[in-house]
Amino acid sequence: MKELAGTSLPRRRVLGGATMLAAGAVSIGLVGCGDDDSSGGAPSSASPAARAAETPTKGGTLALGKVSDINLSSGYPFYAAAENGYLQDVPVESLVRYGKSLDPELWLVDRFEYNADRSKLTATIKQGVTFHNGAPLTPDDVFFGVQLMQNPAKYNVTGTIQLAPFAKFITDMKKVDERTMEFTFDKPRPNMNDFFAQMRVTQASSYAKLQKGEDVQGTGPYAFKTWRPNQAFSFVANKNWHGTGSQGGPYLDTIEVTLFADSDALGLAYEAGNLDIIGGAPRPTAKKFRNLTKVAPKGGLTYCGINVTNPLLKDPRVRQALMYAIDRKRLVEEIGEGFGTVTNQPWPETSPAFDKALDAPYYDPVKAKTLLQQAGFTSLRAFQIEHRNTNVNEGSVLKENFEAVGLKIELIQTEANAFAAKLRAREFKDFWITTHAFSDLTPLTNFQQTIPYQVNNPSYYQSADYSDIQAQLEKLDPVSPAAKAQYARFNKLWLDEPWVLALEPNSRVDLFSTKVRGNEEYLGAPGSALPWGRIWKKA
Amino acid sequence: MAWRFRLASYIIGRLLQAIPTLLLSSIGVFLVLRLVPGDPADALAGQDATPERVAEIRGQLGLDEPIPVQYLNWVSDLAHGDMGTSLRNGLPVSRLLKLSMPPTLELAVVAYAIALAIGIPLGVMAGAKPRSGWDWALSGYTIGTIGIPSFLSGILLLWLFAVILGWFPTSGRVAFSDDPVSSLKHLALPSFALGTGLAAVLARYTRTAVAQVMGHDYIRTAKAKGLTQRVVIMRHALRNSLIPIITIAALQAGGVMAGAVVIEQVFTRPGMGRLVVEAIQNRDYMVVQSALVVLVTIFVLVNLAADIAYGFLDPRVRRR
Repeated sequence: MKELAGTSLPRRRVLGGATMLAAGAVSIGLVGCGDDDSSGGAPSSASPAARAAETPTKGGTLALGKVSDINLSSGYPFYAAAENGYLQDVPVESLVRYGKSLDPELWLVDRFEYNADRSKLTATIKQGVTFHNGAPLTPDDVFFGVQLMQNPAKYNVTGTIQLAPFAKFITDMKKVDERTMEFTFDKPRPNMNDFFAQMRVTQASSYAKLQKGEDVQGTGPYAFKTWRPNQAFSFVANKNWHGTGSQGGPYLDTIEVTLFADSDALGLAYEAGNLDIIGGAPRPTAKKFRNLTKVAPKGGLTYCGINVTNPLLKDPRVRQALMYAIDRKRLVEEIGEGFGTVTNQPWPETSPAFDKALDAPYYDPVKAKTLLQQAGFTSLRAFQIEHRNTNVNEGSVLKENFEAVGLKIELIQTEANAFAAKLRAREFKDFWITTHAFSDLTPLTNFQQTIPYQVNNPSYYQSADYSDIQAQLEKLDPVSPAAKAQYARFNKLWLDEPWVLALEPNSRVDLFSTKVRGNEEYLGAPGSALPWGRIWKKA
Repeated sequence: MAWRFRLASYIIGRLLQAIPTLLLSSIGVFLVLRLVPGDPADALAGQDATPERVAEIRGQLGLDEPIPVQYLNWVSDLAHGDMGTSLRNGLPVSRLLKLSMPPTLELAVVAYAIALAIGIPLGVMAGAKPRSGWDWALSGYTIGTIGIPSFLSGILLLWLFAVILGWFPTSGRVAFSDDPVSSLKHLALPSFALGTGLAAVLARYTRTAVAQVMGHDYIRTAKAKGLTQRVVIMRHALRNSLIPIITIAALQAGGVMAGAVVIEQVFTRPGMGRLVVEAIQNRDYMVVQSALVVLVTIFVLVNLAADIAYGFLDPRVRRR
């Protein structure tokens, strides 16, 4: 150190400085570490009995968070795009809605009657239902929605509307009077309740402005107020809401939704106390605040699809073996962080096709190996499991499970748009992992509307039995004993010659702050929305 | 007067030179986007679409035209000030850029100011006094900051100061005109995360430039004349080492914009970085193309400003 005398730093000062720096780094590390299951400082929620006794408070602002920005030009509100989550339920409503069963509750209408063979429907709009701008809801507004779904290009809509095939079943629409309308279908249709329960209603005359985010009209408890693209959007209370008498709300003054870059940022904002509700919370954040979460009813599955035309996967015994090879309990407990129940069926408990026996792990690697041996299965090449970045963990577990019974697996992560294109074009070679919804509607609707069950499904699965089941269901009341017999046939096919392997339930986990009330029960299918007309915030 | 005329013609010449740069970069951006698998019709159509519906959407968006025709249409509209509409949400691209530029510019300016405020003084002191405490501090600082990516330092700052201590907000942006105090609070952590990394690079180059200059004869002469250390450094050493410092500072304009993309994701600032990232994910060609042309223009103008600054600092450049 002699050569540094006069301009050099004494060794003591260097070592002292380094020690302080190290101490600071350790402190930061300790501060960053914490119990994974800590509540982050948030107190526990009140007991259900205590909450039930509380009187709703009017006023206040509810702060919500979501990741992707909304898109009003792709067919909203007729297209239930994943990015339009809150927008699909807060400002807009449907003519009828489901509760705990698939028996529709009259919501915007006070008459909803089919003729004897269900080839015609007559519906009458409730007196006094208005849009947020005060204009009355008319049959023309309802007809507009159907027309748009029948020909989206005419209205510059760039999305693909899941309800479009249903809309094409409607061959005629007639305005009987100022509030009454009549729909005629191409043939008797037993599941059109699902169409009207999904179809949101908006004002026809303002639709062009809606597409630019300038004038979003609905009948819901809150009106769309402002939108700063990529930043935030907000709703304001609808003081003339038709549902106030039955629901009590809207209680809040405003609802503000902030957009976040990713789910980690969303979780951090919640932990910092900046958000009241995260709909579809990231599981690591939900796990930290488990006592403040609610799991929405199952709406579908995360599943592994199989290309049944692949010669190595054609034998149903091979596919059965793979069904038994999957450790579903591990998927729910580890990947799903314990949210949701272990299941081997697409149906939720509210579905007439629900079979309690199918809510079981169906995990038996020994049986899987036996089945593979019986089928004479041998494979020297690696099978591909394609997945998006959101299903990396499921892919890893599936790889382990399949390799444990003798398959060689190669995981391929595919970019989201490219994955969707392959799904549409039915181009997967062996297996793929993705998620579907809509199985909380009638089973026939699920078969018609949900990709893995449709006639031209990505698995190329076809069978006389499956075609017959669908043909039968098209003639039956969805909750009749005859229909239930068909559901039992389907569930048997599901186990005997699977083309879709259930991995986990598609159940949204919602995270609430301790101040949120009115969220005790979800609305029904589809999607189990929160009851925005009943939600309030404790001061 | 003569040098003012030369300066004006120099500026005009450089601006004209920028046109081919912008044209080439626009072609590059245009083509690269179309090389990425999937197009906006794929992204918009969703997985439920039939191939016919995808083709119909492609036609609605004008994506079925030949590539050269699409490019010429876009450039022609751009030349008339029309940036087109977002393929994803139908909003005018100019509106989206107008909303997203202020947050990014705020972040860039404040981060840049932090970089200059930390980097130049530290570099000057380390260069003027090699192997001193300042030099050690610079080494420690650069090791600590260059080695940590800005997104990681951003996340750590966010965790400690926003989540644990609650001193700063976790996300978002408030316009300065709406609430100056809140605006600065929202800017503090992201600009610090971005600026400290840039400061390290700037400090290293400043140190090298100043250390080189300190060895020159005129510095020895200045010291021999009895000038104070402060005057020697500020009036002689710093001024003569500014050329390379300005060069690196101008190049860092690109680094600021690139860093802003990452930092905006971490702190959920609704700036151009987030806009471009999401537009790329959604294959929103119009937004990506126009945003990148704007960013290239900013970069070109910053470098032009640097070149002009040389003229003011170095009389030899003025005389050329």
